[in-house]
Amino acid sequence: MATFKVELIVKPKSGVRDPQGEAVDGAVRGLEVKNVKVHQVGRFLSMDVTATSEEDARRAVDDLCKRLLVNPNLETYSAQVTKS
Amino acid sequence: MSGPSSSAPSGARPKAAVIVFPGTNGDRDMAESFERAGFTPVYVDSRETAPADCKIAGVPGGFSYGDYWRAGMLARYAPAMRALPELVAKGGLVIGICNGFQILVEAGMLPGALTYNNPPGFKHKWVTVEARETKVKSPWLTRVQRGAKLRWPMAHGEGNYYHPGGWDAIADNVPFVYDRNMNGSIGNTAALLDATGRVFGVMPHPDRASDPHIGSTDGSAIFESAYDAVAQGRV
Amino acid sequence: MKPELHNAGIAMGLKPHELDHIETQLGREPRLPELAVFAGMWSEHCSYKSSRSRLGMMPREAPYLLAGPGSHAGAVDVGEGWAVAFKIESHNHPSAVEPYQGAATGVGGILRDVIAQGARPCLVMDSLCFGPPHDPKSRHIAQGVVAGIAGYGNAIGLPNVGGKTVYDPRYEGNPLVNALAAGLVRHDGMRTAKAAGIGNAVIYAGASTGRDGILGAAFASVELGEDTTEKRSHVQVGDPFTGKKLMEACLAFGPEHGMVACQDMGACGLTCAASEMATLGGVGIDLSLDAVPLREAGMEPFEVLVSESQERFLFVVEAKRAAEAVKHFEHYGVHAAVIGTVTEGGRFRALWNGEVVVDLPAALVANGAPKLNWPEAPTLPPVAEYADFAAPKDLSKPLLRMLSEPGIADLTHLYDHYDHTVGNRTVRGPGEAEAAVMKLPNSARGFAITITGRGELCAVDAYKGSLAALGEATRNLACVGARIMAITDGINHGPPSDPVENKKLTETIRGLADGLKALEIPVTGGNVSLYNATADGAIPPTPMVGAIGIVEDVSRVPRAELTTDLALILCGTPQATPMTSAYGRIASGQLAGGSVNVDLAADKRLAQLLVDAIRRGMVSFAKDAGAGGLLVALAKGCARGRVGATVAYTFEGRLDWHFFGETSGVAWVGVEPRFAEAFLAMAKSSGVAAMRLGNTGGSRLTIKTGESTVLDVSIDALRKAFMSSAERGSA
Repeated sequence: MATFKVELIVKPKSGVRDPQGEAVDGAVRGLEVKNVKVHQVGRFLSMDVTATSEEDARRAVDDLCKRLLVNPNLETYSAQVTKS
Repeated sequence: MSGPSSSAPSGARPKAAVIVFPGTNGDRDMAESFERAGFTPVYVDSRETAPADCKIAGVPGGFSYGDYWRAGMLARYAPAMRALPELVAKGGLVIGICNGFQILVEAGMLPGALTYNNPPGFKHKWVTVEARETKVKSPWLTRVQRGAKLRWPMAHGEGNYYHPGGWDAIADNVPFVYDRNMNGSIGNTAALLDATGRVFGVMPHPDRASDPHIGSTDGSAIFESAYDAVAQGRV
Repeated sequence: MKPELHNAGIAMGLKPHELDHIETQLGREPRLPELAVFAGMWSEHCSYKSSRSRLGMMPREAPYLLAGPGSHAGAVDVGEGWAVAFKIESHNHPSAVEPYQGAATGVGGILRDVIAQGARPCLVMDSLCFGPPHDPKSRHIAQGVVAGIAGYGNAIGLPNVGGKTVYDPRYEGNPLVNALAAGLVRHDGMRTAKAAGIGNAVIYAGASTGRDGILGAAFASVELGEDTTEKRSHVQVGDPFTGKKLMEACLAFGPEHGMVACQDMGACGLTCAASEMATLGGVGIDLSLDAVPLREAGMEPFEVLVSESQERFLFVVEAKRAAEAVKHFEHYGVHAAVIGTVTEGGRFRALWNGEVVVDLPAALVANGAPKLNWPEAPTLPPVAEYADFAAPKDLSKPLLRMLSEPGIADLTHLYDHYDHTVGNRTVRGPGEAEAAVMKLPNSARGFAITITGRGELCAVDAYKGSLAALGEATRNLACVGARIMAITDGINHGPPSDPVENKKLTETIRGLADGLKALEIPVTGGNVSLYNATADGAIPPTPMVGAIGIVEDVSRVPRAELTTDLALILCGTPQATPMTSAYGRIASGQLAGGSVNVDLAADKRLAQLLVDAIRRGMVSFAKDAGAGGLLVALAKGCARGRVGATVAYTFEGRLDWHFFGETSGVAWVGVEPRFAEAFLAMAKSSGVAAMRLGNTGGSRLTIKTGESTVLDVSIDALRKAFMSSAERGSA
């Protein structure tokens, strides 16, 4: 068994309305910043996973995302898994 | 945006600015409280600045910019906000209630930070706050008896007051504390004054406690104190 | 019709006879986008094709009714030049699939109906039915729904002033989420959806359009099957921030800006708004779909037409002021665009890249759905009586059990998620009285509003259960001094394609109609949600009743908590016979049984007495006996007020049924002892039996009948039972 550091990013599924992203983008434009376009606002989660292999750790993360952390109606995710 | 209608002649009444951001929803509550205390409330769009003859400005509660990303953060750069430090420098008074308190903190007009409640989540409750003796004297509080226990509603999800210097750093500036832990604030802080006492941020709602038919009139003293200050030429 | 076109229509939810009807009416094959238009508009949710003719049984007129069924939201005159616009809407299916967003968009949707009427919303209420809290999936749904209602309502800045929450296994997998909104409007500020003025501009305002809830209206009209997860793309996302900006922009945009008509884009989106506005005005509307603000690339014209993206309105504006109107909305940070024109001839037309993709008679789209006359079962299957059980000798154990029962237990922990004081109008919020009380601006006058539903009774007898819901609403309002003056109804039912369910639907509507006639009040509009069923069967028929009445002086409104030194008076005539009730369910372990006990005339007499006495300022406490019966009502008053009471009286019949039975026309009143005689005299002349049975005080609730003490329990124990549901983790 080894410990893997996992950094999970959860973001709005493409096409699904993202009111947060729109509001932040609107506020950025309110500052008259012209060279920045905000696309999406999501969430970040950092965790440790004990597993036999990187694949095993990734499976555990996928499972957890499916069961709890990610709302498949609205969100997608990407996970970075590194051995610590 | 429509405000409460006034039966008294408005000419003689001093004005109080109520700053309205997109997403503000406590503007009318604050305006009605100012009006009951003797002011003529003036709604000011956050993209504009308050009229020059407004000595008093209020930043009401609500969800400015939807409270997305971080409550109050997106509102601080609005022109109406940028004009407030000068108003205070000239002796004017500023109050921020709930989201307005968050905005004043984000704008740097009050120290520290307001973060997620602990226990987490939006919470509405009629709470009891106790008035403390503070070193800083505030024109907002001349009618408030020290030691008084006042009933105001709280309604927020990010009212947990934090200061890196801890309680000692703010003890002289805290005029109201909750009678018990409501949201995780250090020292049960419910409100805060700046060093001049002219900027007053408060998390629960004195503006929702100034109608005798609705729960409590314990909030009126705040707005009446400000009226006294204007009437007596102290601003 | 070409087979592929026919199949597309069926896939969208249209029925073969409807496809035939479309082809006959048009005299040609429909285009694909036209099929989508029909699929959305002729869905049960938009057309009421299965219920429409029966809904006509309900009375819908009164001198004080300023806007009735067919308006955005019904409106009643509450005095001082004010009207209250109010309406109920269901979001059952979206909430089953995506609880948070389903409930949030339900709140957003009903608010837009009130705004479209020209009223500034001033409150939200909800009536929720969930599966039992011990079921993890039901708990997940309940928590998401409560969070969604709170998330939208709190952010837009409207107080949630109460409602009703029911936990019952028969709602497992098919929760009911009905939201009610009310708003204040000056009599002369009411708005219409009637498009008018050939050549006037059609203006879109609000959030841009994406592929949200494509054919959601059709989706709301199918049963939830195993493949629900596949339908997830239908769920819309609510955005209270845009909703708030849009609300302010719309309320500030009136006839003085050239506004002629407006309608919110709800079910079936742009198509519904445009075709209904045209039909109401007897005109046509041309839409240029290319001009619609879009969020996603590559959208098909039919998607633009039927998208149910949230936070959108459609306006008809005088042609010469169109540019000014667009600027108005942009000032509020809201997208706006001129997307069409009012035309002569009653056609609903849509253009895409210069090509006509829809060209239909507007009235055929809006009102042309063929009525569905489903077969009705001649009779309903009888419901078994409760199995026999012994009467307890002491009431404390069943009382404490009842007080902790989900649905009866205190919901303060739930209501703490909702802001109920924002807006400075809330005189009585959740749990503070039997109905919510709001005041008018700068006045001591106000109005009372309540929402209720008695699905557990309707499961046994839909007719009587509907009467019982009206009776409860009547009593609730009377307990705050208001005479019931109008209702909005939210009918939640199983599939009408099932003859038994269809018969029940008739019984529900007949019950509402007869009850309204007996009370001499109208329905102002409402909502019908059919196809509420899972693989395990249909939900109990559940008509929700949202009711309103005037409070002449808000300073005289009694509370639902007892204070010390009050004379306790029991009004009404409790019956000690077995009946469908919360007690029967708990004691027998059977969900349904026995008969439904209802007497609307008794409720009406009681209400008149309470309203008169409260207006005279005599009443400190008033609480009617609802679910749980008269003892639960008294115990709740003690628990909330942290005060005891001693009650002594004799009665006939079985102890438990007497105290826990649910009889119409029964309420407790607490008055200062100096008013007791006068109140009893008033009761006598009103034809209401009333007895002074004891006083409040001390720290125990004690009931004696003759020599024996049948209840003696501490207030601490009552509070512990009543407030226990927070720890059990129900919603």
